[in-house]
Amino acid sequence: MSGSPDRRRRRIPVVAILSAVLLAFVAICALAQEIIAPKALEQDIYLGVVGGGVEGHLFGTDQLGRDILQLSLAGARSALAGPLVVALGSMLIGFLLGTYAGYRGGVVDMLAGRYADLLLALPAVLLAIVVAGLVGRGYWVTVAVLIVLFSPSDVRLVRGAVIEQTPRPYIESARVLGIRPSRIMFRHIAPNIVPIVVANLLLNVAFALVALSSLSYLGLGVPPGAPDWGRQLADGRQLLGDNPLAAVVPGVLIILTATAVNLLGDWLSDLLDRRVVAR
Amino acid sequence: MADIDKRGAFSRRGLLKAAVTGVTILSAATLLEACGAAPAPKSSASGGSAETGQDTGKDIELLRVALPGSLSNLYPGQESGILNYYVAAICMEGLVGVDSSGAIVPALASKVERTSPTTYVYTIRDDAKFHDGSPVTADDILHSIEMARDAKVSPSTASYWANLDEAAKSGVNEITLTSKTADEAFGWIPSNVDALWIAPKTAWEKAKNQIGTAQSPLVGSGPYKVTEFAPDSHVELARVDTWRGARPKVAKIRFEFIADDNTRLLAWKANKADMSLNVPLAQARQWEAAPGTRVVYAADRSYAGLTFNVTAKPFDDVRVRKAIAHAVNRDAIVKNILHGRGQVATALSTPEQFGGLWTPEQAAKELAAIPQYAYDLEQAKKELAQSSVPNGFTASLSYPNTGPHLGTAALAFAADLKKIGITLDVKELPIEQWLAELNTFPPLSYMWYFNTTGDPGELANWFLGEGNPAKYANDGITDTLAKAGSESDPARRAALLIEAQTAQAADAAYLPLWWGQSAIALSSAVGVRDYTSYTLLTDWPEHLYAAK
Amino acid sequence: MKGLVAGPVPAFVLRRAGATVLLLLALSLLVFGLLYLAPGDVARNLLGTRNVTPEALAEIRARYHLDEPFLQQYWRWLTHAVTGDFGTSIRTGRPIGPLMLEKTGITAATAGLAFLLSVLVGIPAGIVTAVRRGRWLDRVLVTASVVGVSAPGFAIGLLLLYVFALGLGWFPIYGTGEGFLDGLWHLALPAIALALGLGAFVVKLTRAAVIRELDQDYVTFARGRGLSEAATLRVVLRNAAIPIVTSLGLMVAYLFGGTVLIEVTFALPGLGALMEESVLFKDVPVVQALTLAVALVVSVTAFLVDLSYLLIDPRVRARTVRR
Repeated sequence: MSGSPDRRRRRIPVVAILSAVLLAFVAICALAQEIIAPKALEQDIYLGVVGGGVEGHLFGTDQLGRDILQLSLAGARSALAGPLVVALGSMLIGFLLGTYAGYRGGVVDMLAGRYADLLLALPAVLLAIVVAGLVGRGYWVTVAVLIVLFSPSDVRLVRGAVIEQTPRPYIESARVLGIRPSRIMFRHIAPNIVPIVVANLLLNVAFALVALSSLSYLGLGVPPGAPDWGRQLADGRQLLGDNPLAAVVPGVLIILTATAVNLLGDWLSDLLDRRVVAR
Repeated sequence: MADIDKRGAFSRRGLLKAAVTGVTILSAATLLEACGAAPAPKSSASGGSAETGQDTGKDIELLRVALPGSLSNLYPGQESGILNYYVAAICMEGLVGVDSSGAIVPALASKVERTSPTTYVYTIRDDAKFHDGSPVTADDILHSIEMARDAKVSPSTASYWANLDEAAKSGVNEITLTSKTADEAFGWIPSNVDALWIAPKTAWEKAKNQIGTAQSPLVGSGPYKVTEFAPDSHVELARVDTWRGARPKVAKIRFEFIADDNTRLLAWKANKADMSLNVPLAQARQWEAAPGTRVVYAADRSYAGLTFNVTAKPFDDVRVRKAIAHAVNRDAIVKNILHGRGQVATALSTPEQFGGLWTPEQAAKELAAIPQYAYDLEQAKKELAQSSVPNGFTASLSYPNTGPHLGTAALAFAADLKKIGITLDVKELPIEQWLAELNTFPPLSYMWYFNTTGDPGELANWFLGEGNPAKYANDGITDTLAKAGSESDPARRAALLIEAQTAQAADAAYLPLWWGQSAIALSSAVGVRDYTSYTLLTDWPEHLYAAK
Repeated sequence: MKGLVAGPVPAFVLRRAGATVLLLLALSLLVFGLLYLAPGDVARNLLGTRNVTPEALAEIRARYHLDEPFLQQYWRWLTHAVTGDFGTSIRTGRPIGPLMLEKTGITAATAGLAFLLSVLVGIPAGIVTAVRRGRWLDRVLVTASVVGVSAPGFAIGLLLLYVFALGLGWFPIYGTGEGFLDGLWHLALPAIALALGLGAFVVKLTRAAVIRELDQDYVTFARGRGLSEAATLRVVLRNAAIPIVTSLGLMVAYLFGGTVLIEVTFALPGLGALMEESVLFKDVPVVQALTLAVALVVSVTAFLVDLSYLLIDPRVRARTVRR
């Protein structure tokens, strides 16, 4: 039924390759924004919004007369940077707190559990609006809020994985040998939960991209006028009659990019899963 | 009177409006005298063919109105969004009301006499009936005034009554209101466009003072009564036979609450409504393109402009302010961002506020005489080079989420400012937070203000008087305004106001950007007469007719 | 199983109930504090921007006890709340109970419908993909589910609105409808928009759970002993069911977050929209009641999930209960 793992491992699936290519392209746009989309912020209010196909504007323009194609390419930066930071930050919190809570149990575990409960129960919109109001609105503020909001599920994930590992013989024997708990946690248990964490990292990147664009949609993400797909989508809603591409292009880019990250994450987690099993 | 629009506030999220709401409503009223004789301001229906479509004389069985917001309570004393006023306007009356020209007109009072500067005597008409058939008595009115003043029952409007000293029955059909101090605006308070909605005493008691809910709908003496109300969904009103006036042509009105701009446009395209309020300017072209649609525009006496806090660096330097003034291309903004739905503002007063003296066109001409800063980036650079910050600086500018066109305009001139070395961080804030920020006197801010009266001095008195948002002080202007305050001749008063604003323009504490318009959409089967920014506060269905 | 009922599990349940109460307390304090700090002023919000006298402002503040110190305000709210009195909404002047009840209907119906749709479609699809692992059907469904997970609900909502409501006219564009069937029809598009992402999750997690079981040794044994594929699958499904069900429980929390955007997109007057408006207005009583209600639902599901872990895995049971 499941075929030979060896054969499957050797062949990288087409979707993974396609995803990697797409992400590489998005990453290049993000890194070389100034070269690839030099005119992204160039306005032409005399032109205003025009539909696709106008000379010089393949996908038309937005309400400020900015070229949708260039703007969308420039949006790659905020589409990658923020979600990566969110995923890494939340993973770090989840990894440290989850491992400790899962292995040690007791009060720490209890506190970590309640921390997770509290944050999961806190309405995201409330936190986002209040924090934005207190420290000012901005992309990185939203990113910080998302790290906090993403962390509880990572804590739970890691904690669960650690709890699953703890009763296993290799941990029991390490304990009997008198190895320091911190060493057991981060030398013995950690490598075994890495696959879960890494796969989850990519899934979180995709999820954060969607979440960031959702907050931009509610007006909480990037400042107005910045190249950002969520923002473009929200602004583009007003222009659907004049230039539907102003909303469609960034929308498609969000979906494609998130899909590529997810597919890559799935593939990677399969791969790592088999490695662990093989070991 | 500091009323900043809330109109925008309904755009997306229902009730925000309540936040900002008492607003578009008339509060100050030097208007009493100004408007009494004022001819109806012409609706400057620039694009709208408001009057097209012949009156067929037929009834409109059902008028479906798309409201750009969501109502939870219909009593404006509780929830005082402008939309609540529009609905209550056809159901409940005050002692007085307003007409399309913005003048105070009789309602439940057939006559008002101001017997002393602080005494108003209202003669109650004897032919008025509530929807339940009972006659309107002085007791009902006094009780309703009591309710309107009760901060528990009418939290949104009770404070408007602060200047009332006493309300008393002074005859069988007579009520006398006395104010603590003489105030020209006092005459507006007992109107249904400000702070009084009259219901039978029994209805108040039966509803335990909570009227306007689904359980105890509004009861009044207006031409329509509420027949069905589902909070945050819809409200339905039907023509009554207790109305003393002419029978309106519209039999039933159903308001659907569709707060989201985009959803409202979709609903309109799917022919789910016959009338839609507050068409967003950014979408106006799409509305106009919808089949069988007329979009009617009216100048709404709104002012949009920049305010410089003249005590804050670097705006304490007049050259900086002038540099910015030269760098803002107002013509292009009005033409391309507002799509021509507005006028470049040359002053704080809007042309529509000189009613009785000048037509809006004449007034615009007079106001254009105030010296302006032409769009000229070279000049802007020169000014900046001689200023305290020759190399430019960074400033931030917030706009309310309810006015996306303010944001677009800001981004547009931010690009020009960048060219002369000034970096502008444009920020969007929820309307509540934007208002909170305005109270802190930011160095650079937007002002988006809906004049509530026909008094040309309304905004000028606030902006050039004490406690103004620019912290601007100019003794000469103070003197001029004082003279204007005591001047009774409208022409001389207007001249003094323009003189004060001319002096202001030289200091550039305020940079007027544009005077706005707002729009409603009508299906081609419905016609409207005399549409102005006041119309929806009047008994407005009588302005509607079945069109061909 | 017997041991569970008589043994330390009731103590565990009690402890969790206590912890939930503590959580709600902490949450209410946190939310109260956040709103206290949030910019804006209720009195201003109520009055609009009118030039009112400082006395009038002070009067309004006093009426809502906004002039009191923070802890006193909180204490006032708390002492009322424990007696079940959550107060009245500042913005609408209505008592919290009826206000929430009215809105809960729409949100619960949308979320419930979405949940049902995603489970009814997602679980069978997940099983099919697991059983047909590697075949074209698997690939297509898995890729589709990844796209579903990756697409923001509001973008899907917008698309559905344009295609099915405006373009084809199959569904209403706005409103909540009257009566049960009409209501269902009105909520169909929002529910589908919400269900797409959710259903994609369900597919992924069902597939993973079933595959995990299929890879177990007992499946090989069962096959080796000549058990029919159908009988093997039954055993596999029974074992895979528990992790699937527990994960579904955790999705309840995400459902609420998702409805905010969907409600904005479809202009539905539900709890999500109410939350956004109330937060911006600083309508403390409403935000508090809403937050606590959602937290209670989330806590109870989390608790049920934990309880089901206990029931599944004796090792975890021993460890958790011991603590």
